[in-house]
Amino acid sequence: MIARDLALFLLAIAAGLAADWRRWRKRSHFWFACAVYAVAFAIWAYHVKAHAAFHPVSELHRLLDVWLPFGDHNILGED
Amino acid sequence: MTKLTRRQLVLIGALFSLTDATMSVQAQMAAFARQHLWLVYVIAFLALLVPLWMLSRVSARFPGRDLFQALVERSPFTGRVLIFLYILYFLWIAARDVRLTGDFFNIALLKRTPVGVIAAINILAAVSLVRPAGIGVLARSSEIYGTVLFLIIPLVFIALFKDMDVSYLMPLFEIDPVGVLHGVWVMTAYMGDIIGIAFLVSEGVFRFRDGVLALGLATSGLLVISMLSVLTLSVPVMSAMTFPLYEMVRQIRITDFLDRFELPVLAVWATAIICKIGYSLYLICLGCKRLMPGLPGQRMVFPAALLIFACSFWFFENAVDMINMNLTMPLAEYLFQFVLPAVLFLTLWPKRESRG
Repeated sequence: MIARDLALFLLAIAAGLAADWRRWRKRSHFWFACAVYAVAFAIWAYHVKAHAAFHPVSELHRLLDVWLPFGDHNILGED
Repeated sequence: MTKLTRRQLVLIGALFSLTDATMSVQAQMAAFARQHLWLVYVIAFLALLVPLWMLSRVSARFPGRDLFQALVERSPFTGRVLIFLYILYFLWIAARDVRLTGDFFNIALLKRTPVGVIAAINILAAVSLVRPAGIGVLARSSEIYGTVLFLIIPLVFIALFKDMDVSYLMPLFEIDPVGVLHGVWVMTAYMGDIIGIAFLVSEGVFRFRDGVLALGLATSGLLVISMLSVLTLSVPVMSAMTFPLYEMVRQIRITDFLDRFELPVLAVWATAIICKIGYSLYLICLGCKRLMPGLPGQRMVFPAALLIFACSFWFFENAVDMINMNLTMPLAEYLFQFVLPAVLFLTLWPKRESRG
């Protein structure tokens, strides 16, 4: 599963690079795009390999929830 | 560079504000504000006029340039830092929308389709709208689907008229101000996405009147469907549901052969939210273009789209977190929707031309 998810993501990156292959005027621009691809792949690989690890928004929610006066409310409403 | 017409800008603004405010946040808002949901919209509308006015004034100081350009021109380093922050903000909006839509379709309609596949299809659709011609195709798509979406709202009202029960609005005058303000807290963050239209205007000036029209259109649309939901489902039922507006639309039976009226409604709504993902994607690419002079924004569409896709899964642990974060994330979102526009309004002035 992990290998399949990573391979599909790499395939998507390859498709993106192939679509824009000949149009780069400056090499620095190409490397900038490659850096964004690399960040995206690193995030995806981290997510796929470590499912229950660090999720920034979920963690931020847990951190801030304590400070909110209505943090205990949820989608179920009040009983 | 494509010039947006006023109608396109108003519809883009309205879709920016309305599309994902129809999701799970409606249930939380009903739990807080009870039958006084209308008051939440009125307060959110008035509050959001302030950043829209400030951004329109900033735009008027730099005619013919978008706000990203104005930032870089005025202060190359600090401007780029602010652009980077706004790129993160639009990345957050896009990732949230992609995951929200993926989870919704997975829960409500396509139960055997993985969320990843739904999210990938949504992203691919947004890429196909943005990549060929930037904002041009996106704006014309918004004209079609935005118009249809806003025409559906009175149709839903007519279709559900017989099911309405005014007693669900009672007691009418027992307003809980704290509950209403909690509702305002969660809803304003969603409607506040509208500030994105101020960054979309590249030629001419972003006019406050267009912002008010867009926000007014979105607010009135949301107000009508939320109140319809209260009148047909009642507050306790509405606040216990994950997607109350979807459940409301499911009740519609126009004729025997059109007993699944929610499907055409969802088709239009899904396209509208794909347009919204497209706006965020376009703004991320535009921000990158301004960060690195000469960088072709069109070629940043694929990398940015993959980043959005990866972040939409990494940011949130599960679908429940998508709902919980509605309470806490406004704290971060208001920084971009109220604080930074105020900072730009106070500090961003054109350079004085030297005399003589």
